Amino acid sequence: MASVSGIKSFFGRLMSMDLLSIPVVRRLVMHRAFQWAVMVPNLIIFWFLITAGFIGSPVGNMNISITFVWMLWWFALIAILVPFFGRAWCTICPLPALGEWLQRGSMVRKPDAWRPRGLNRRWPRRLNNIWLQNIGFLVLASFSALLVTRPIVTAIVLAGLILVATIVMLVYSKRAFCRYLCPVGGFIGLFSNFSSIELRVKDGELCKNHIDKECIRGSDTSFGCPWYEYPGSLVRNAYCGLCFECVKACPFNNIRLNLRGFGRDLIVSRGKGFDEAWKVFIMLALAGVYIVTMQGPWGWIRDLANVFYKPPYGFALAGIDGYLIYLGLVWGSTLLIIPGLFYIFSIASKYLSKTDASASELFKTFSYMLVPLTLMAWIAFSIPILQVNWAYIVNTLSDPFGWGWNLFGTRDIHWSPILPSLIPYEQVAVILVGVFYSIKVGYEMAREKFMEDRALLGYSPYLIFTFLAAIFFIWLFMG
Amino acid sequence: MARLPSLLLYTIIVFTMIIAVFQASPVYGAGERVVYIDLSQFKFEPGRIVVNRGETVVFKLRSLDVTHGFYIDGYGVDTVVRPGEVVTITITAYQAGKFKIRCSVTCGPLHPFMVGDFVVLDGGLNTPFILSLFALGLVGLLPLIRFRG
Repeated sequence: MASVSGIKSFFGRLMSMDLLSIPVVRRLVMHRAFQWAVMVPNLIIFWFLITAGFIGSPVGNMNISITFVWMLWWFALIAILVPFFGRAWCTICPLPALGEWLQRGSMVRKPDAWRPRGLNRRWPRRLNNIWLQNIGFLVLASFSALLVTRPIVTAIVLAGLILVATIVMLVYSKRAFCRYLCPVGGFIGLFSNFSSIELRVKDGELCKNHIDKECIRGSDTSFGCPWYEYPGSLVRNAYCGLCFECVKACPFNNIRLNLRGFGRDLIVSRGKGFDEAWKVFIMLALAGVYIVTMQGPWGWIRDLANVFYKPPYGFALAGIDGYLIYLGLVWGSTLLIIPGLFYIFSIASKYLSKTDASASELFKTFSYMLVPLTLMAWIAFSIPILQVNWAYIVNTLSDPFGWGWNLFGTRDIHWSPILPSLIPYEQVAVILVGVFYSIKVGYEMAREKFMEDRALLGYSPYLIFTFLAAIFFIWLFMG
Repeated sequence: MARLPSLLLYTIIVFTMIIAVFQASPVYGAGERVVYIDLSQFKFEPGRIVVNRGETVVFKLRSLDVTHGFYIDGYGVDTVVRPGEVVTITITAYQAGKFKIRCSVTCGPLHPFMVGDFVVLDGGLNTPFILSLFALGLVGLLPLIRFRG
């Protein structure tokens, strides 16, 4: 028993540990070259992948741009980086690297008497939300059958994102692209609210009483927060890009980087909005659409999505009617059907709980309880991508362009899934984890939102919604 | 609060053990079933094959366009199907559950997504699916019991 309590105590200490209290970590993130040191290698890899997309084989699983981006990177992002490290991808993301360099006029050092380059305009107030990210993600989702299978499309999109990021950063101040436009950043931010890491201040009062606010305005050693955040009032991970500029700026060493339990930010009321609520439904519905389209037995649905196909690897527009049905499925399920159903459940919740809050308010609040289930649905979707197709990644490591090279002797490793009969069980287990956390988070919301004797009753429609969504996923994997 | 992940872990372990017991139980039911499958970019037709545990399943495979592969998760089946020929594969459906049928030969852009379902029922029931729903109920109730307590 002593050892059990010892282990619990160890994990208890671990889960509240400030990673910045580790000297080597602190020294690392305090160094001005830190972010560039992790971004530049990534930028080089990205340019290599883009080049491979343009000049390499048109066969997706024989081109490193597809295997590294949509198999390896995607799995690492959704199953490891986001749940455990929040927006850590944004720390190393190469998309804004060029724009940030031009905007700052410096790669590493902060120049004396520094002024930002470019037009440095303020981002329009009415676009101060993630609706553009929602729309951008849906646009990419509309072409996902092309995007994730055709190297040249992946290359065009990646190069296009770098170009747009660079232009936006030369027109608008700081990281407007990352915060308001990046289609990947939207869902990373949402799911980061679930993650087991957080950047916060140690003493909020100290920040409140300190006038200079170097964490926002910058200092001799820092450009200040490029994500338009004030660390002193940070209560959610959604828009903290983990760039550590605030750590470099704070004269009081008042920033901590904590490990914590999963899902903490989801019950925080401040900062929640309908843009984020819709992001939840977009991601939930798209997880279902993708699993049905790409991993389901229904070939005719794949045909609808794969409309721009001319054998063997060409492009042609055929069967636009079918594609319109697919577009209707993607846009209709994400923007109307699933949110509409959830709103009906919210009306039922209002009726049962007899709360004064409006159904819209309940809709917004409780949409966040679906974040764990949604994240887990995406992880479940991603499991077979790696477990089944790992050999393609290894093959393209030796033959990145599909030209017949064999750099590391791994080109001819035979396609052979790893323990594929276990995949449905792994997927169901992951969904169960999502259900567990969704219901846990939702119940905490219910206790806060409803009168005590009505909490469970008012919560029951959301319980039913969560169970129905989970049953749907379990049926897809196991039914 | 610290107990919740442990309870979740126990639930998943129990769920896995029950599934394992069902999978290891003796095979009953017999007979032979012939299944004709057409393979084309990027689908199997029919895409969903449902058989009973213990049945001998004879797959008659035909490609309608390019060379495809025919692979069934967990059953050790992996064969090449060229256009113009009919390939016959015979297996015994010895384990229940849902298994993906996959194309194992690069056949076009959506090749990694060319999948079908091979569902093996146990006495007419998809036992792993039913057990998964029980597990869902249990996992769903855990946080509520904890909070109510």
